[in-house]
Amino acid sequence: MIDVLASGLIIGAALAAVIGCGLNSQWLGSAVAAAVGLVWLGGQRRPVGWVVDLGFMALVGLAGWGVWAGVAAGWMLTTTGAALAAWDLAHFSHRLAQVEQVENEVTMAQAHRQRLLLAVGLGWLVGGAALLIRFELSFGWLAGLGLLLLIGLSRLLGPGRP
Amino acid sequence: MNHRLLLLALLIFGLVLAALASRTGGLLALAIPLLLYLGAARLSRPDRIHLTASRNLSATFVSAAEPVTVKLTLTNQGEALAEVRLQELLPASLTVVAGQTARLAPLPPGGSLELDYSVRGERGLYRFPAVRVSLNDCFGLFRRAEVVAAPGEFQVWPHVTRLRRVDIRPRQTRVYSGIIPTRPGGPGVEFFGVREYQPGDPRRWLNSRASARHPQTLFVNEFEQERVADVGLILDAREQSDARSPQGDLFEYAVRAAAALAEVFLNSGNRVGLFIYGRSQDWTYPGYGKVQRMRLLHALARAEQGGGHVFEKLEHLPTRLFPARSQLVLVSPLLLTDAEMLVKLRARGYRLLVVSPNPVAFEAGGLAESPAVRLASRLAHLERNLLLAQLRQADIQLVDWAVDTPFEEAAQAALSRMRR
Repeated sequence: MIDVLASGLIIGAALAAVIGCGLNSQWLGSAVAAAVGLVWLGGQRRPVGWVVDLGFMALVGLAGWGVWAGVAAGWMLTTTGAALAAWDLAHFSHRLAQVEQVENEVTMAQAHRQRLLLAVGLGWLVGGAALLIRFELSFGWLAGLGLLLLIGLSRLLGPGRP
Repeated sequence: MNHRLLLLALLIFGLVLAALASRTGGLLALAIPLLLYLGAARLSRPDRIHLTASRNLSATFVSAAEPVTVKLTLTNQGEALAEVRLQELLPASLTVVAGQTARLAPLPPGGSLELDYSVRGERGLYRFPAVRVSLNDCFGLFRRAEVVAAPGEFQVWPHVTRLRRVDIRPRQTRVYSGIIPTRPGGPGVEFFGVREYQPGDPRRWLNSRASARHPQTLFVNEFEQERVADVGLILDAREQSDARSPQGDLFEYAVRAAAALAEVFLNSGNRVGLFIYGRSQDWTYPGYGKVQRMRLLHALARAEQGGGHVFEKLEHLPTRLFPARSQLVLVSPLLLTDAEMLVKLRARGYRLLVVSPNPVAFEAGGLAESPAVRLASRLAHLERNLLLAQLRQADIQLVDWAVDTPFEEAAQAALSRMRR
């Protein structure tokens, strides 16, 4: 079930990028998105490894390039959200497979899917809302906000270190 | 840092920096789902952990090849944990025969997680110090590993071969009656001699034939008195004297032989002590009966080899531990340098029985057949035969045991022929 869902999300992420780039006549972007999607789908059957991480990184990178190149950001946001969910599910499935016995596997998987849907769905909505907001910032504000964001990110990641 | 967390952080930093550099708001929007995902993981990260573990073993002492069931319970006395992976830290030489040694589950406050499995092992002392617990946030980004104490141990005793009887004749026996014939005549079973009647002698001892030849005197039969003795078992645990081959370790055979001998001597009512010479000086004080059997099996279960230079030779054998002129039984593959000390022990009045698992035959059995191996094996055999001849010359009883023969067969063949 998890693997089927992950495969569906990979297809969704790649398809959103292909359509988005295609609508903007970025054929190279469409081709790259399709190729990444196919490689990632192929790697799904094998134990989790570099293919999953590379696929995720490539699709998010492609989405970033697409936004910079002028592709409609909504498609790219969908690509990012779907790729993130597929990446998470692949690793979750791997964690389950590593252990001989999983207690209440169905309930656990269901709870995980719900949490993931909430986080990614909320991210997609907030990201979508952010695309609609447009305001100009001076260089000072931009630098200050950027610094604040980087410090915040560092603090968020900090406790994860051993 | 977890590689997934690193990858996610790189993507977020990359998108944010690209957004700031290119002043493109869309790039910043792309980072938002990733940021929210990271934030959700961070919020569910386990911070205050209070886990306790308890272990229950079905047996503390088992004989070889008998399985032991382990029940391990991990209880969460802290906050709710999204993903808990419980992994047993098994001693290396144990084999899991049933059940699982790892489990993954969410653990609510007050909830518990159980592992139930059976293991089997070779002779030895097995200690379970702790259990490994890996804790994840809901998305597996912030991982935390804990080792929770859950002590427990069990021993696997060596296989004890039943021997029918081992005849020993120490010069000194104890006062209690047993089955070892002694030099002074008295009550017993085996005929010893005839002496003049003394008041108090039982009438059934009267030797009518001898008394008839001497009309003025009465003669009585004397029998060999049968007593119990002090037996000092010495197990050679020196690495220098051991041999290894694909069949295993010769020391294991020596331990089994020592267990069989301890059993037979204790069953005959003797007082048996055990000294393990090698890693350290491990001494089990002499005693009788079933309790002593347990003590000796405990000592043999945890017996380990040592390779220190101090115990390289038998010179440091503390002979004061063994009563003078008692019976010593050495179980050892023997080194060439051991002959001197063994002859000295014999000269001091100890009766000495040496059970020697044959290291040459054992090691040669594990080597591929070739002229060089044949020649080397022949030379080693000659050397060993010379050593054994030296010991026999010093009136030391020997059992040269080729371990492919069962010990009971080898012991019975050698010890039943022993001089009485």
